[in-house]
Amino acid sequence: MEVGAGAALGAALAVGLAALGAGIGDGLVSSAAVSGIARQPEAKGNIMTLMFISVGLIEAMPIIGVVIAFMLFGKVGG
Amino acid sequence: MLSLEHVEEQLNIWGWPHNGSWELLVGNTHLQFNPKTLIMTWITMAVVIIFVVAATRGMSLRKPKGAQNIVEMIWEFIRGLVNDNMDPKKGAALLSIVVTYFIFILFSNLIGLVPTLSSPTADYNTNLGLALCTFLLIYIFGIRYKGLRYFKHYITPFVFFLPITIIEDLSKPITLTFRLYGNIYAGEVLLAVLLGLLGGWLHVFGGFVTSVIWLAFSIFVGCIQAFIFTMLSIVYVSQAVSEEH
Repeated sequence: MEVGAGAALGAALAVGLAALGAGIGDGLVSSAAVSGIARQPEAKGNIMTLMFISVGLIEAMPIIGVVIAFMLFGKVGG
Repeated sequence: MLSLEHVEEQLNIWGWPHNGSWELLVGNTHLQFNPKTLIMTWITMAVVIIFVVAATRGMSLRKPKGAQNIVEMIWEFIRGLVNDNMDPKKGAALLSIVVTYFIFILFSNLIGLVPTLSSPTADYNTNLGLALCTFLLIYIFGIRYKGLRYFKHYITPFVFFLPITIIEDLSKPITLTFRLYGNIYAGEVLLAVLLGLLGGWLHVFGGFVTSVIWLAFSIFVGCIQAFIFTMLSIVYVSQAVSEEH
């Protein structure tokens, strides 16, 4: 297969799988945060801070996948 | 629908050299400079210095006014984070540099959203520099508070954990760099792609509304990434100085 076709497929796979991973990870964290706040509303400040930190950490890998997809995107022209 | 190179050429108002790096030959080594990142870093430094100096000029203790409140809020917020994670006496030496990280990374992420400018943190060199400063800080604080006993933590509790702890130590600056680089650079490229999305009128109608929505989200992402870089630096240093058990 040509370079352009391979690059287009690679970019699409990278972004798709990255989005899947980010979605599942963020969903798990947010559901745990919401049930923690529901049990003990006084802990809302601490739990929300921890949730933002966790989202930032989890999203690091999928965002690296998106950067790789952008690098491949430039080679789509062949 | 315009391609990415076409969009970036049309957006290039300041005339940055295309795919730019200046080559310089010093002695026998080849040096490369990226003029866009250098000039944007100087502009960001000027903005940070002017903001902080103007906000704290003629400070008053009883009746703070205007921008002095913002600097005080940032200082107290970061001081709360440092005191939550480590002993406040040990953390007092760390406080200045993490406040500098926070203000610099926040301003440089937000300056990239101004229409014709770009972020200095959208280049992996800037982020690698900041992450290497954190990497050095971990060792400096560890050796200062624990002497050479600090290196024993690589082989406790079992000697064969050594490869794992070495990889853990090397992964700290690498993940810090690429997390910040990926978030900010991908945001900027997506902004350019969205502008070229709906037809040829780049200046007026092409994907304008979607890029405005993405700009709003990028403000949020910039603030969160500055907070996360700072928070992780504090956590890594606090792991190095903690006396456990």
